[in-house]
Amino acid sequence: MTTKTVTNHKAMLSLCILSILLLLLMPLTTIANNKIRISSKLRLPEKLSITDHLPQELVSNILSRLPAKELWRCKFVCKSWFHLINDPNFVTNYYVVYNNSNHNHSHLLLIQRPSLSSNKTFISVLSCNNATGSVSSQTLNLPCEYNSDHKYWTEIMGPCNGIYFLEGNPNMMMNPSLGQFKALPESHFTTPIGTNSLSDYAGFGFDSKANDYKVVVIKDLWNRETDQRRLWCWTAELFSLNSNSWRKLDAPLPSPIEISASSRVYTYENNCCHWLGYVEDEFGKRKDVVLSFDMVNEAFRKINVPRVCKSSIASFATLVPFEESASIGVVVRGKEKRYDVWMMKDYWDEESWVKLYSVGHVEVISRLVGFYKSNQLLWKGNDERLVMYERDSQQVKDLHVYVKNDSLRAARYMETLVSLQRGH
Amino acid sequence: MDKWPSSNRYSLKAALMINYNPVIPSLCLPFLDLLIEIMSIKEKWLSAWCIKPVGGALVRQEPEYILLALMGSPLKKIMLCSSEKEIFNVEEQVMVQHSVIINNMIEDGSYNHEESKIPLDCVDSKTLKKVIDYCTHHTHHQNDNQEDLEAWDAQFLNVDSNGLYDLLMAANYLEIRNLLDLIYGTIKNMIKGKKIDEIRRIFNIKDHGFTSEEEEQNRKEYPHFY
Repeated sequence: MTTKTVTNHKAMLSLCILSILLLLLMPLTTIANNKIRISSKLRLPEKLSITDHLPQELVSNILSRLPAKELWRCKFVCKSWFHLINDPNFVTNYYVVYNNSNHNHSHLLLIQRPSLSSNKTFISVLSCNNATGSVSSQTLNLPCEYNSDHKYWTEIMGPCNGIYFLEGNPNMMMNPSLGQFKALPESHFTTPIGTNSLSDYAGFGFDSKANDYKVVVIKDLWNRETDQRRLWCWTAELFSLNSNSWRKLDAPLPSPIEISASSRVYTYENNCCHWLGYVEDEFGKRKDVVLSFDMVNEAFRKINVPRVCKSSIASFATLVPFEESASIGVVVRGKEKRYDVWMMKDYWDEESWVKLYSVGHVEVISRLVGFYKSNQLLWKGNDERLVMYERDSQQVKDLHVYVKNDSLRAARYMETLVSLQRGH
Repeated sequence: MDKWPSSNRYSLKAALMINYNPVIPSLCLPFLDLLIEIMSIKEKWLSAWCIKPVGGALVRQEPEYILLALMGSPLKKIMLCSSEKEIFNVEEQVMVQHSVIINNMIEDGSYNHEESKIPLDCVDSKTLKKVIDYCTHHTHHQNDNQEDLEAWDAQFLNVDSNGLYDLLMAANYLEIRNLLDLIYGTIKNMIKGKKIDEIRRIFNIKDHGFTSEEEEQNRKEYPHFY
């Protein structure tokens, strides 16, 4: 009896021990599958990922402080960042926030054609430290050879949401902050029979309705046989980035109009790009006008300009944009290094031109070569240097770039996430 | 003059006027209003003499507070209550100078000094202590040179990532502009220039959310990103 009870006891004891061991071992087997869960109970709180911890708004604020190329890379870190960075609202917000946040530096995009004998063109980004005045520049490496062969050496068209268009060989649209360069395809349109074209004038802008970047080219017409210019006659073509093709424009130009060949600054306001020109009245007297092309409606419009200068303003005036007022103006360079600035108070009212201010003799300025902001213009100085002149403080910033023989144009450099790859 | 707290820099003229006027025998809080009447210091006089402290912008300029501060009296304190119901006493001027939210609360009079505390349910005690630390240091040391301040800031932000995110959210909630910019700058530098795998490691992004095909495609298309 005793042996039986002993064995019973032994069996019970061993059973108990076994069951206890089993109970202990059970969680261990599941540890392999649920390691993290267990450790989070036993140890300190696990490090959360940044997207779990912070609200979307703060992550968006952090990412808005990175340059565009970094953000392109950050897209592939995780899906939520991918969706955030591709969101059009984020792109629009980024363009405003990033470009207004950097007050220490001014950034310019420069295009230079230094040699008289060749068309070789260099595009570079210049950074100027506002406090110290020190300047550094970096030439952009283009994937294809670009040369500016335009006779009249007009302008850098842009930034339009950070995208730039350069006329040349080939015509090129680019987003330098992402390193995207797109050569436009050739246009295969020919001029009407018996004519050919020698000069063309381009305009560039953004169609907000179609979310499309467009280039319009106006070409003059010459009679092939008589080799005479057909005055007041033009033909126009339009390139659309979304369709990646050219199409002929039937929209007529308003009344006989001539476009001035003078140097221009990119003037794009209210979805329209602009050119300075003139018309002749019945007495043969010239009257200055502004020709505008609306990117959304694809229509031309003529805006009358008051008499701002004794002679025709063609050679001395440059159209400039006024972003804060969503309007355009004219900078008229007068004698003795003075200049006047005129503006349309109401863009849609031709009579609303007013003279904003006159700037008296500024020793260093010679010729307007670019536009930075409404009160900061870029000029070629006396000693062939590029300077930035700020009207309010009358401060002249030497940018240490030589502009021999009118071989340089400059524009403000803006960082943007807008991609030229449509359908990406 | 040495005993004046360094955080209050006001016009010397006003200080001299008050300090050497024999009418004021000693500081007596309840009689302060009466004192002001006796000395005929109108509010506009003092605000004309008193300039804003360097680096701040949100300090109140009522004459009572200026007199208090100049005569070395105990500075007005406010009570901040964290989400864990812990109370922190902090100089009113310190918080008002940095936090837009607290400044607005005090300016529109909804805060009664003697009784109420400002409840901050979004901020836990550990983070709140850090925030108060930051504000206090920057108020008291606002005239230090730039390098010392930057060194202190760098050492201040030497916390683990959870702590950093909590600080960011607290600074965002309290609208403390310079602390926000500081943390944004720090996190931005943690991302800048790094490859994707490293960014995932630093920010503990274990599940990137891409399907394996998408991930493979991305790696093939942009190998230099990874």
